Amino acid sequence: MIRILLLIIMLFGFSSKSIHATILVLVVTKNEIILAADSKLFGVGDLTKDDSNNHVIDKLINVNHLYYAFAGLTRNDDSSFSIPSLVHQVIEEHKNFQEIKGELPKYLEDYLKNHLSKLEIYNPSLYKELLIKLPGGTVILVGNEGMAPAAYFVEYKIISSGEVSLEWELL
Amino acid sequence: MTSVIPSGRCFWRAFGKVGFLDELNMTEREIEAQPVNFVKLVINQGIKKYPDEVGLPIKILRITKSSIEWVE
Repeated sequence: MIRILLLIIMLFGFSSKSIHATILVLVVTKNEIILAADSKLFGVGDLTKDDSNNHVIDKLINVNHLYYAFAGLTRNDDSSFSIPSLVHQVIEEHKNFQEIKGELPKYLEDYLKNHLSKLEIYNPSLYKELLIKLPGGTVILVGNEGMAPAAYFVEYKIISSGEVSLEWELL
Repeated sequence: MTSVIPSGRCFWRAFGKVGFLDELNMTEREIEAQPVNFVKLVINQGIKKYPDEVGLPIKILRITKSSIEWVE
């Protein structure tokens, strides 16, 4: 029983304080795309270049020929729920920007629904808290697609029914 | 998520801890001309407003037809 409880805590160790602790800015002009991020490590950190001494983390992450960034409800404290890991996987499995653009929303929706349904069973109080706060998140991808700068972002939000709403745009 | 400039010279959007953005005052023309300065302005404003949650350094990536480079 204790093992099961520990597993549940590990699986759903969200920290609500860490839902919004990032600023990302995307600018698209005729000639260039600019993507910027702050670097403060807040709450959790499982990514690259984590320097716990000065609480700095690189929030613009390179995978193959693309860069991605994320903000909002994206991971829990022990990273058992991790949108960045999911995005990393999708980029590695689909090398082409157009393929990634097509597949990422499906992966995200399945992942979020699956996680929320587990959360509803194993941690109903946290599940209710999320439904009250209705948090969401954003994933941004940028790259150089066929010698043309390209940016893509997908936004998701937990809606009141406990389902997930997704919107995305390619620029 | 907040403001979008729907048409014209450029598109921009800020994500995350950006509830302060009404206080920014840059025109679309200025943003297009100085996008790097604009993103610095946005993030620096955020750091002032929410120092416990967002912070330096600001990392900036520029993508053009011929290159992907770190500006800072």
